[in-house]
Amino acid sequence: MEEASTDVIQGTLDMLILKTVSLEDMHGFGIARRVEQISRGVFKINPGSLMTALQRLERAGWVNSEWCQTENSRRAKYYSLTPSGKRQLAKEAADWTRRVAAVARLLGAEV
Amino acid sequence: MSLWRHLSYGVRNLLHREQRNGETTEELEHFLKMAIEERRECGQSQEDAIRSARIELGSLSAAKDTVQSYGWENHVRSIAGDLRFAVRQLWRHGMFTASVVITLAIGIGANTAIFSVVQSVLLTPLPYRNPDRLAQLDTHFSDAGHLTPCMTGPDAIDAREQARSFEAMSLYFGGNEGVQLRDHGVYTTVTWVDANFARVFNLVPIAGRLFDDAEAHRTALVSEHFARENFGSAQAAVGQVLHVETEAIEIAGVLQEEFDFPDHTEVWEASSLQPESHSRTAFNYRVVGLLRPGVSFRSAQTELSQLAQRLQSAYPADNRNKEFAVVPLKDAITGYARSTVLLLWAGVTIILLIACVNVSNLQLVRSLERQRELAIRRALGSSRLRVMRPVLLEGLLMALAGGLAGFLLALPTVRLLVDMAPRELPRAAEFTSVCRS
Repeated sequence: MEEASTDVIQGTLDMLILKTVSLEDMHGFGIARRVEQISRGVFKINPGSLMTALQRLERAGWVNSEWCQTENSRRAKYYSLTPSGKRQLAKEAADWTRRVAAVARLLGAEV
Repeated sequence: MSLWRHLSYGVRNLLHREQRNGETTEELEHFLKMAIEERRECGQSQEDAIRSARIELGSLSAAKDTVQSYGWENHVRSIAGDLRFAVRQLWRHGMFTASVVITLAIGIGANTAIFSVVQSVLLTPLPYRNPDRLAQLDTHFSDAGHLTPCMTGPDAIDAREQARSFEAMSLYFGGNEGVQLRDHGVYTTVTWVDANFARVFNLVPIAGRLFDDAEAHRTALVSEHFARENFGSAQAAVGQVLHVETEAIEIAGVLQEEFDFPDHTEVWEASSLQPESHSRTAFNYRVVGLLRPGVSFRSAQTELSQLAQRLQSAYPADNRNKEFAVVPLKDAITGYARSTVLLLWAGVTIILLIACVNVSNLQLVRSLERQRELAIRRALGSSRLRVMRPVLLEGLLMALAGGLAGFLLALPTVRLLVDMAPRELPRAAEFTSVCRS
């Protein structure tokens, strides 16, 4: 049906969620879908790990949550990025870029 | 900030567990509904949408478990469960629990009681001002090795006048005497002290005044206890007359209850700064001194040894081989009791060890009994820690119960020890201090 999905790389789930929530306030399903769409189906997040991660982020003070009405008037918990979440995202993103560049350099090395 | 959120979220989850679980369920169901809706919009039938959404998301209850097992509060919850289990186990094996707790209580109680004695006799500073600067002067003979806690009058006067290490030095003597009051007699400890005594101990009367040297054999200080027993109050005792060995003595002042040096003295009669005995071979006096601030016992000893040398050459007949020793007052008071008390302490320590060995034997028997239970839990997939935790908690609970029971046992035991303590045992009245502090 579609190309094989991969588990999210260990340790990057938090960053992916923070990034997604930074675009706009979202509920759990929205976050999972957005990660899947933007990664073109490479990453899929199951609800169990997503919600555990959200709890972790909330306790760390990086996201806040609030019960709201959705467009089709259902109750859902919406997550939003906090200022310290924004700082954390910038830090993790910079760190990630540095690592990826290093790995790319290593793989690209010839003779 | 984040620690605070961790704590407050955890506590909130512990307190509102139902609500919290409801919210998790609601969130997961919302997740599922949205997934189904999405599929419906792509044109799938209701049944197909539900089926494929369920397949994609996996078991919701497993997800719920994962979500709910997050956070420190879950450890609290599982430890609380183990604790309940441990309490039930202990309750079911009442005989076992009781024997362990009683064994521990006896061992710990005996140790606590004896340690209170060790603490108040050997460890706590003397209840006087400047306890670290108080010294007693002894005489010993270097040839015979014989030591007496006394000095002769003239030797003591030489020490008092020549030793620069001391701020004040006082001579005293005394013992149990009959004290005659107006309408009754009292048998108590009477000590004759010179006017320097109050300077050595920095005494401040709670009523009346101190005496000076001119009042020798005419005035006395009494303890607050003595004043209250015989005259009703400290104030009432001042100015009253008592008779000791036919001398009529006026009470000049009253000292606070805590002070009873030496040997539970209640009446301190004034004696002259110039001792009546002029013999250098009659060891009639005991001597206490207050070291100057910053002077060590070692340097005071050096000075006194030099003095002893000078006296040896000045009075070759009387002072042959005579040396003086400066002993910290606390050591002088508790010296002979020290080894006894330490021996007792060693004894109760061994009792505690035996108690521990007994308890571990009981535990061993019990663990043989529960081997099956533990093996089953292991086989069912509990981790080693999960299996051991209730066992460890049981041990902890019994230790706590034993400790508490031991402490409760120690309270009356200390009181009993105080009552049984020989009058000569130094500082017996202070025994309760461990329980007080």
